[in-house]
Amino acid sequence: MIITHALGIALASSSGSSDDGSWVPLLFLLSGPVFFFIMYTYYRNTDKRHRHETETSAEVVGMQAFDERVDHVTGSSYASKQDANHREVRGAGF
Amino acid sequence: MSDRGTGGQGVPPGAPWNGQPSQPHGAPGQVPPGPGQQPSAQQHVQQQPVQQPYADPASAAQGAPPPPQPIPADQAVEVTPPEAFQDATWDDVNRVRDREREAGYGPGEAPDIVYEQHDGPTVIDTAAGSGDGIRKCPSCGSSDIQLDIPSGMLVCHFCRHAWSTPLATEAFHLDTPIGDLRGRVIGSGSQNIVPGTDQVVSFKCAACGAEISIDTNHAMQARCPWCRNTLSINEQMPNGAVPDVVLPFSLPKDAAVERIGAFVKKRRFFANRRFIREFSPENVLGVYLPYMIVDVNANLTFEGEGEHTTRTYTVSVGKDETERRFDYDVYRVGRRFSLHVDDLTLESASDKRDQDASRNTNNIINSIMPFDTKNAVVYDANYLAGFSSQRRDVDVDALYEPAAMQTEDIGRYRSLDTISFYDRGVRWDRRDVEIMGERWIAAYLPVWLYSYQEEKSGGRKLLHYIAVNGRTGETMGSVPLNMTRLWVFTGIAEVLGVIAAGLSALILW
Ligand SMILES: [Zn+2]
Ligand SMILES: [Zn+2]
Repeated sequence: MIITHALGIALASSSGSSDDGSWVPLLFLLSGPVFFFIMYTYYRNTDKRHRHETETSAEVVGMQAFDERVDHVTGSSYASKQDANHREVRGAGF
Repeated sequence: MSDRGTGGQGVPPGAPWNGQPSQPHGAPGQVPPGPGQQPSAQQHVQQQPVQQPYADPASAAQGAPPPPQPIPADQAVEVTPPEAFQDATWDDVNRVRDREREAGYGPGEAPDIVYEQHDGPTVIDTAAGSGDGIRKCPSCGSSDIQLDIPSGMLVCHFCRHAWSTPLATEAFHLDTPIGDLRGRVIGSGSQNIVPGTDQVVSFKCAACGAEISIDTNHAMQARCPWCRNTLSINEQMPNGAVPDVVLPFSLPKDAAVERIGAFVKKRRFFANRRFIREFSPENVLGVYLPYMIVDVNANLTFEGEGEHTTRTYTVSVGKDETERRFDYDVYRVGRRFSLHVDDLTLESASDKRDQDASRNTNNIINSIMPFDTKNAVVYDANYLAGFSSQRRDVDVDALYEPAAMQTEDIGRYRSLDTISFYDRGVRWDRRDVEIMGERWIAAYLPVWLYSYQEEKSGGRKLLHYIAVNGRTGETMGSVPLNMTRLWVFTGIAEVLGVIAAGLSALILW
């Protein structure tokens, strides 16, 4: 898990920097951790679980919605909403 | 356990909803999108009744609320609540149950009981007509009965007569619309476990009169040592040993052995050497594990903030360097709907609910879900002959919170296609789950389980499972690693990576 975390940080910081490809060599330095993580997961499957959020049958009835534009932001350097939680899974693993 | 409901009404009545109950906003047409017209949003918004801010949903629902769940007369039995048996022995429980049966409301002659006046849950009696003792073949009277996996039927070893118990959905009327569920309904096999209830059940063999004891922690059947009849525990006792329904194995053992063998074959190189030496998939065990299957009728409300990209462009920062920039619109977003969850399935053995992958491999068993729970049948201990089973030791109350959280997850994922307009994502600040009705059924579900105890350095032990779903054949497992070998190859990969990094740096600069 530490390894995935480190990997995440490394990838995030590399994608945040410039676009000239100078980070490509750094990516190769991750080959050890990446190899370890892929093999560990392939054998031990510690990340596997029942995907209840998509594998349970359920029916939506009476959908109501509101969508109200409240602001406009320019010049953000992030491609996605940093605190988005619409794909979070909270009911697993306990 | 229900047909996809035509069910009931939608969201409960209330004031028009826009997330700001105090100052209703919203002239029609104020709704998105802003400049730049995003057709996808228009499309989905138009499907919703957004333009008139949220018509009172009660007026949309047809007619009056449905009447309370009717309990079929032949299943309505007044049952003493399990709490009353605190500190009682199994004999006490039996005596009270006998009195209740003799009181005149046995199967078929139930009095009219208005369950809604009770404080506790509505109980569906799933044990009607079941008693401990000899379950005879209806054709020849032998008690030598076993599940025939290919046909899914119980087969008499003596005369080959085959039969099965009815589908639980039909027998217990579990197919009423989920949208009509109000309050808590449980199967009588899902009742709370009473601490102190004896796990050892004793009764007289009906054939020879001998006193027989069965330890329900380990077995639900035993052979009478005197007359050789097979004796079954079918009567529900408040110790979690007898569920409402059972889903019989349909995947034969040799198929499970083959799947486990194939699973390990692909994972030999870095596997623990001793594990590979001792690997013998034919030792796989068929085990019925305890689950709770729950239908949930819930009202969900989500409110938060969504972001929609309006422009993407490149700016220069310093010499020769450029960066991406994004402009976006921010929206207040709300979604509210009823969700009818059908057969949400939760482990109900406390040891299996602990899924900390650093301590155990229970997540493997969790991951082979889902099961085709619609095919579960009325419980009969004869389905368990030749298999092991594990007793349920978790009550509905303890599973309510996990069920509610999973319901919220399911609802949030179901609503994803209504927020695709927000390509940058949505942060939900309010995530409300209001559970209107629940229906709980205790089940034994079939798992082929291969286990291996790894003894790690330092005396630590880890039990590895390879599990095969006894219905669908879905297979998952944990194979113990040869860490030395894995680290050596990790080192090699890293050295190659450093060389590649050096070479690519030379080329780039
Ligand atoms: Zn027979
Ligand atoms: Zn006997």
